[in-house]
Amino acid sequence: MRSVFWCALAALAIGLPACAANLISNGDFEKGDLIGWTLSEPGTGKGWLGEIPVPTQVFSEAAPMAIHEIYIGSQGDRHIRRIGIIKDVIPPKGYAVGWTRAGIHDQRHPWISQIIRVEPGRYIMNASCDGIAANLSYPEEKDVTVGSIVITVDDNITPQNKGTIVFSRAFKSNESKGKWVTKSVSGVPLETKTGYIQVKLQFVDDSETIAPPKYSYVAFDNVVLELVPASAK
Amino acid sequence: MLKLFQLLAVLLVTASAVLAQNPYMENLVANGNFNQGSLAGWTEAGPDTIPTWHGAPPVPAQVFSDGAPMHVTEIRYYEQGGRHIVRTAIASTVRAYDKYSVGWTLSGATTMGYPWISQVIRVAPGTYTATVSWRVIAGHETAADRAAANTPPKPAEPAPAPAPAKSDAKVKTTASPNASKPETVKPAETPKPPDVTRTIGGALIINTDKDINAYSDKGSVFTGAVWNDESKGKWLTKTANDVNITTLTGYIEVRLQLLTPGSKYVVFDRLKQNTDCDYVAFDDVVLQLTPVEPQQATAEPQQPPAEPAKQ
Repeated sequence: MRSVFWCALAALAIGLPACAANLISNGDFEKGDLIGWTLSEPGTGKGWLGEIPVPTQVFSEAAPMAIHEIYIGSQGDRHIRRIGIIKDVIPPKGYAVGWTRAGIHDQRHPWISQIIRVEPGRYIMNASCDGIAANLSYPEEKDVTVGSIVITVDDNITPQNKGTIVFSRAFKSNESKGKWVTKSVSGVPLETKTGYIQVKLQFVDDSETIAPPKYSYVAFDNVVLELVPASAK
Repeated sequence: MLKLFQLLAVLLVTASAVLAQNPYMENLVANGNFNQGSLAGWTEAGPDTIPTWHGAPPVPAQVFSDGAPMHVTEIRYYEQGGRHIVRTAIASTVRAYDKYSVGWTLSGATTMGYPWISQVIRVAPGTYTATVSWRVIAGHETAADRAAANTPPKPAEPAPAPAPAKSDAKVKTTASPNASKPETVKPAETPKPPDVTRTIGGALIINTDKDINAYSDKGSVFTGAVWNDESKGKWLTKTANDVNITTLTGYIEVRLQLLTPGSKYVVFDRLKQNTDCDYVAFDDVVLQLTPVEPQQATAEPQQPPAEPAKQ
């Protein structure tokens, strides 16, 4: 019992990840919502320009994603409406997060992010993420619909600014083709001078108009970021 | 033929004169049928939109169609006490009235906040007689209902008496004339007492001036509420004529609000992750105003003033 106490005290004294725990809050989205994440939209940052992006959706097999169509109304204004649901995109487990798009090429810049605070210094990073992407109108076109995970540090990190990229991976529609893919790295050096690390999941779709009922989508699950102080290695 | 033209000309002139006197006879509610597929024209109540808002955002309003139905939104509390709104299922048995409708679903804890959408209309300050109409549906959906969604519907049940309206104006209820949906048929005999637990309702509320954006309808000029024990999962059409509206500022709020009967609300067992839900939805909201002219002292033509006596 006494040894447990001293171990716990030692961990508290270090205060920050001495062991490789996942630093991402709700990285598997099993809360069923975006708790721990910041949604990109005009209300979440002062640098936002333009209208709201297509909605971010936390979904499950029982409550699947809706297909969002972007269209211009009769008065010339931009609208987003739900035109269907995607029943065949099922998370690896429980809940996942994703975006869908149909209609005109005007989904804006949908992403979610969270900023993690650690002690400034050097770390060894392990990161992994499950992703899926598809574009039913342009299934074979390269780099047309992409889900990207980007980890940045320092340099004015905010949901609007990139910071210094230390890790990024892309889940491309022509590669994933509607199948879940796991991408990971291990043993990557990471240095932060401020102690701020941002993890961002982003939906990029450069395809031209996707005529309904066809659509594109990107989804993520099981986002993991583990840091071990370089000195501890 | 000439007489026909003369008659048409008289009719046109008369119609022009009437329309000129009643500039608000068209529907003043933008996107009142939600067929834009979005909440364009409406404002969803919440911390970002209502200056006096207290607390967390309410359960979300959902514009839905038969192809893209509403999600079941469950309110959960986890170990840390945080309130979460989680989508747990598709409310597949709740059908939009026509193309698109707007609605809410409730499941789990009762802290749904104050879900409403509204739009503020600007007219000339004064007194008006309003005609209001809207369609509403409220009911309860179970997982078993969804599973049995493909089975033939049961025979229609008799419609109950309409809910009392707050305004002096009488609210008329009719089953909605949509052939694609099962409808209620008003029987000749006395309606049966409600045999459904009252758990959810929807109200069309009209506020003016200082009562705009208030949490309750205490100061409203009109409240027309429909509960699930009246609707029983069927679309109803409500109309109210001769609603008196006086606005000093010219601002009139039309609001669609989710109602729960306070302590009578049924709390579902969230530990079972039950996807049963209550729901309410609206469609085809119409508000027409007719200005009320100031009353004349006498209906008789006034005599010209007498000329002053010559000196």
